[in-house]
Amino acid sequence: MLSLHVIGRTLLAERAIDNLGRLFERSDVRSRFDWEIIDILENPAIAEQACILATPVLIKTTPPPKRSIFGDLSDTDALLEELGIF
Amino acid sequence: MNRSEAANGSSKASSGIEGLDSILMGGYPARRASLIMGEAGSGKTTLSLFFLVAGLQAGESVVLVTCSEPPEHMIEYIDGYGFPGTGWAADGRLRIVDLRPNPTDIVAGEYELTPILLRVENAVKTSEATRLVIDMLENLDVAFQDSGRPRRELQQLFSWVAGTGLTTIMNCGTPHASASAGILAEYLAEYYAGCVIKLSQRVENRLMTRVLRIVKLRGSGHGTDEYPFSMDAQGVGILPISDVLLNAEASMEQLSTGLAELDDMLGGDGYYTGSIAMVSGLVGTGKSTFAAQFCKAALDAGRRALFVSFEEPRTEILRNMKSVGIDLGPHLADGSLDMFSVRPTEAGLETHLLNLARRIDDGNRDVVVLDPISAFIDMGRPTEIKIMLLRLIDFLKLRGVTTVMTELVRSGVNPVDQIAVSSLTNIWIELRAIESNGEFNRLLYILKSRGLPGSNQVREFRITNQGIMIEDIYIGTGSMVFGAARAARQVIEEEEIENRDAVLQRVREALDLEQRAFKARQREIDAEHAARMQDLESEVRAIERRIATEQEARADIRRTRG
Repeated sequence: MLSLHVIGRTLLAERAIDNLGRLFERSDVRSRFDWEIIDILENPAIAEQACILATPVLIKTTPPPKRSIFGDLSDTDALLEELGIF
Repeated sequence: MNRSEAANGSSKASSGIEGLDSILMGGYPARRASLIMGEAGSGKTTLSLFFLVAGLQAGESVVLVTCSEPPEHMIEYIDGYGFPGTGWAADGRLRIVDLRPNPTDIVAGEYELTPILLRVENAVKTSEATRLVIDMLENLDVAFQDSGRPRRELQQLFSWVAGTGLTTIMNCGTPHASASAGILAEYLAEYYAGCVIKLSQRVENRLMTRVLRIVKLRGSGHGTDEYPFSMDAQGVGILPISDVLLNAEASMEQLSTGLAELDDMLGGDGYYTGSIAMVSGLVGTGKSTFAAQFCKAALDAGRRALFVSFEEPRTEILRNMKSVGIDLGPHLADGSLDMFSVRPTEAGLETHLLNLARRIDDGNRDVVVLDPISAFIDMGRPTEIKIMLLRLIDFLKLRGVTTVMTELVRSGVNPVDQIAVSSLTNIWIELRAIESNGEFNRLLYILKSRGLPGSNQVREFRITNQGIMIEDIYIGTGSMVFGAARAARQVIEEEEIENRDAVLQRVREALDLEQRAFKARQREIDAEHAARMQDLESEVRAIERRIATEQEARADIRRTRG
């Protein structure tokens, strides 16, 4: 599960959502992950529970280990490497 | 807004550390940000935890933002200092915002730090906090640009903090730790902090000394010196040199020295309560015994005493003092006496000072014996030792504790105050052992007795199995004599006094005899004189007659021839 956390629909949030959409155009990503978008403004307690320092942040909960990837996901190489897709 | 502090309009928020509040003239600036900088392990976090505890104990809510230590450690620290950290965290009055970066986090593109602002703001608002601590923000890598400059959002955070009127402490490392720490500290000190405190530590004589300095305190006076402080399981201890002393009321009450004769020498009833007496002397002159005698007298008078030895184990002192008739055991058993031995080398000066202060306060002691303070001579630079003792004396005077300290004088017969603290004491007594006629005699001199008449006398004393005995002053005809020689001289004089009448009688008789003898001799001479005069006169007459007879005979012949 990949959860993209954003705070409102800022420019960076929109860019991250676009980049996430492009990522899921890949079949190897689609076959291994589900995705969701969480807006922290709707539930501020989530930021505290997940210890979020910056947004947008893509949090991989499964498969373990848990990982956090900050930013608008424009750095595709870093993103794929972190997700273990080559 | 800080309810309690805003309500009473106080401009200071207690630091939770008595000594620091005194240096800061009341505490950190209320509703402002303060900066504490220092190397790792210099005590920044501890200082800020005590600040939070002060608020929590006053019923306030607080928020702690941690960027390096796990929240559970922070709670453990508070628990460890004896406060209900776990309880405060559970009831929500202690809120911890965990901003520790996760080393596995990666960055893939541009990001914003909005969650940090959101989280801090949320914690403050929901808990209605009045105090905020942000610990080691420089560890939050995502919050700094590659150059080390804080990102725009941090400036927003600081502005928000400044606007909320929260009393805030931010902790930060030194430039040596990291570029971001240096830049952050400079930035905060320059733009946000109304108070800047610098902590440092140095190791001397293999013991660590921690030092605190107020670099800046806007709109208020503050102590400008370096203040040594100590940290241990009980927290932070700072004993600043206080000017409160000048206003401290001088006691008129007196406490016996344990020796009636010494009380007399000091002009009546002994030491003024709250005064400091120093007993100096060479080894074996009886300093500890003097101190113990006073201690015992004070205990008998219902005082609570603390006897600290820097040289001998407690058991030895108890035994030695008992052998000279000063039995401290029962007082130790009933708690009126606290007694401990500690080597000066066991801890830094600051730690010694703090331990003494605690022990005096915890046990409510109003009489203290320190035996001997000269044991500290090798513990550091003389000025440092003097300052430590000065602060100790300040503390004792402030608490109204009557103190006897002993000082081992190393050599020479002249009083040598090696630590130069005699000027701070009220009474200075010197003990000497003088060897003459093959024995040692102990003498007591009062070198100083501020506020008391004092006595210039030198008195001899003995240490007996019933304590110290001070001899009556000996005013003889000869030179000063002590000991056996003194006793011998006294016996001779006593005999002389008893025989005085007989001697007078004898001399009178002799005088009379002399007079009679003289008169008798005079009569004899007169008689002799008279007899001799008669003889001579009759001889003269005889010769004259002869001459006359011869002249008549010649005249007869001339007439017959004629």
